[in-house]
Amino acid sequence: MLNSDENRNKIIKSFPKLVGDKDFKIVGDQSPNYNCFAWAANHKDTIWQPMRIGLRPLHRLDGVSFDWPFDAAEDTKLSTMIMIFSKLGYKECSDGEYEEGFRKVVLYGTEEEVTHAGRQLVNGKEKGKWTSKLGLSFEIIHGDPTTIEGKDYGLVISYLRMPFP
Amino acid sequence: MPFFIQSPPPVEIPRTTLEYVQSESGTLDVAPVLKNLRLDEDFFESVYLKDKFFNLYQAWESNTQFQSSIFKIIEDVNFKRIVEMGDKAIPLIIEEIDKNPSTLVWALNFITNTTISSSHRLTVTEACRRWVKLWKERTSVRHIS
Repeated sequence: MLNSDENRNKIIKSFPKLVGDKDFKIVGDQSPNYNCFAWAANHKDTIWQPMRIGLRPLHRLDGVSFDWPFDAAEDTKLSTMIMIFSKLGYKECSDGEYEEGFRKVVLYGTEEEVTHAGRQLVNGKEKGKWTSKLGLSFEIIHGDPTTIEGKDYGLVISYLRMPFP
Repeated sequence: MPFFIQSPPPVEIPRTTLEYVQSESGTLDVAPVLKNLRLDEDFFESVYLKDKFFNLYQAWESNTQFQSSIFKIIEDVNFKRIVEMGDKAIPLIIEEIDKNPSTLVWALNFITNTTISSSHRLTVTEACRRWVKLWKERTSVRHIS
């Protein structure tokens, strides 16, 4: 079962603050087809991963899109991520509180390296909660963006929002 | 009173014997013995490789399961050691991605210096299926010829 204790414990081991998150649940299987950055931008069919030419393997990797959309710089700096999401219609905002009429994205890591991205849900009974694709592993829902802060992703570094009809 | 230590009863320890096969011509025929030894070598090598591969695979998976950065995933020491196993790892990787499509397929990209070509962008799962299909076609052609 997807949301089994075994799977939950596997995740909690890496993200211990999820223990106190009453909205935490696993909603998507361990798909290797998309990562958190793609999922934050609503894509489930590719792994978005910028990599500088010098760092790229000699051959392409199956299922990976090495180039960012919008000709963004080939890195995961905060400024690059904000530029990409601004092209998608997002603007920086102060917090992750749910605001009617807006969809929000949260970024984790540092100015130099964004390690993770999550997206706020705006429809249905999960409205206001957050969805995260944990690397190439499970897709989860959590109530508070800060409950997946820790050794893997670091701290929340920025929130962005876009008007949602 | 003197102190005696009672020794255990004698036990017959089975000894390993080496048997030679004498052919009818009277000369020593070692071929069947060598054949058996070769089989054993192949068997142990195969078990060793499988064991090594699965240990590396599990360690890599555990280290990178929540990692979004491909750079960190392919730079993991266990992934590199799978790639270093070279051609011998290919059937093991194919067997694993057949059961469970995953980014382990990237090890095939490194070992073979090849990616699956397609007119449209493939997902990792689709690429795994293509690799497995190509491998099965290749091995069935070998069996026919």
